[in-house]
Amino acid sequence: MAENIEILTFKYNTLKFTVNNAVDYVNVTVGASDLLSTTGANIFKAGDNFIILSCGLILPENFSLSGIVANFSPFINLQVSTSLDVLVGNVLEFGTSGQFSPIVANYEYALGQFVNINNYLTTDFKLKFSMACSISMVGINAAYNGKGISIFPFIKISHNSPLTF
Amino acid sequence: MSLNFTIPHRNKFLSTGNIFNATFSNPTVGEYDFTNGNNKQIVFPLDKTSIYLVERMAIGGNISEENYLNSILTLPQITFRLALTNEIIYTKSVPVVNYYNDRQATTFIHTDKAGDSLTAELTGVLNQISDTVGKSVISLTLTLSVYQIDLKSFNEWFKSTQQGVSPW
Repeated sequence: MAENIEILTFKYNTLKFTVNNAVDYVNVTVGASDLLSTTGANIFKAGDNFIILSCGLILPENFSLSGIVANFSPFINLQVSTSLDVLVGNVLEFGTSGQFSPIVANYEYALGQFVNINNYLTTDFKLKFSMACSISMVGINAAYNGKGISIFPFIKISHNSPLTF
Repeated sequence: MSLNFTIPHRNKFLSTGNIFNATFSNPTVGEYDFTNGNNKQIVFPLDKTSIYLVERMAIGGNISEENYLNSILTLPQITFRLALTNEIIYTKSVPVVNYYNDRQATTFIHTDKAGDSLTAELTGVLNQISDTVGKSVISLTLTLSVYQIDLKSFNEWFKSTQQGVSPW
């Protein structure tokens, strides 16, 4: 078996919010950003079909998603681009037409969805997330104010060919 | 229904084994192509003083039969030939429409040339489906059940007539 199971996530500091307990929530958004394996590799070989095993969003302890007071629901878009960062579009098998809403953080959502990448492109490719969410500031200690905190959406996939840099 | 042949008691049973591999994304991305690199494997060498009765064949693979059937893009088929003359044994290629065990595929084989052998060539293409993600190679295994008859009188009769009722 040549099966590779990878957990892909953002680089440190890609998605960050600054704590401010004077407000109810802070919004965090990021455009299409590379997803990297634990080794930092992120380029898939052409034709490397994969199964999306699961996904989720990691928030540090004490923080939570603010679903009630936010002005939008949390969402994650899975997108595919060429290895040279030309965006092709959403991976439609992910959630609803490429968009998934993690209603709570720190939970692994099992998906088990097969993606035939040849439906999107036939060259080497990258996977990217664009996303938005709101972080609740209710009950957050003032000592955190002004601190920048990274959050990590992740996707776990199974595929064949090793990733490259 | 099955065909029955009477052959001399003096015979040798041969069981052959061949493995045909298709590597993922080679040469076409997202597919397993048996045509690439599997041409003409030797099934067994032929002795020109013997007659061979191929009686049954069996085919299996390293993925489930359901996954095999779901992933067929171009139907895999096996062509049996004599190595030196390229003569095709069965009139047409044998399509691998499913896995089978003990399928009757009776035929006599003989050669007039020294150093000849029976070869098999597998062609066909499979798609990658969700259940085959993680398989870098899909293999199909072919087994033939063969009787080798080296009784001189039978062989002379066979080569001179190749028809009629066997005196054995």
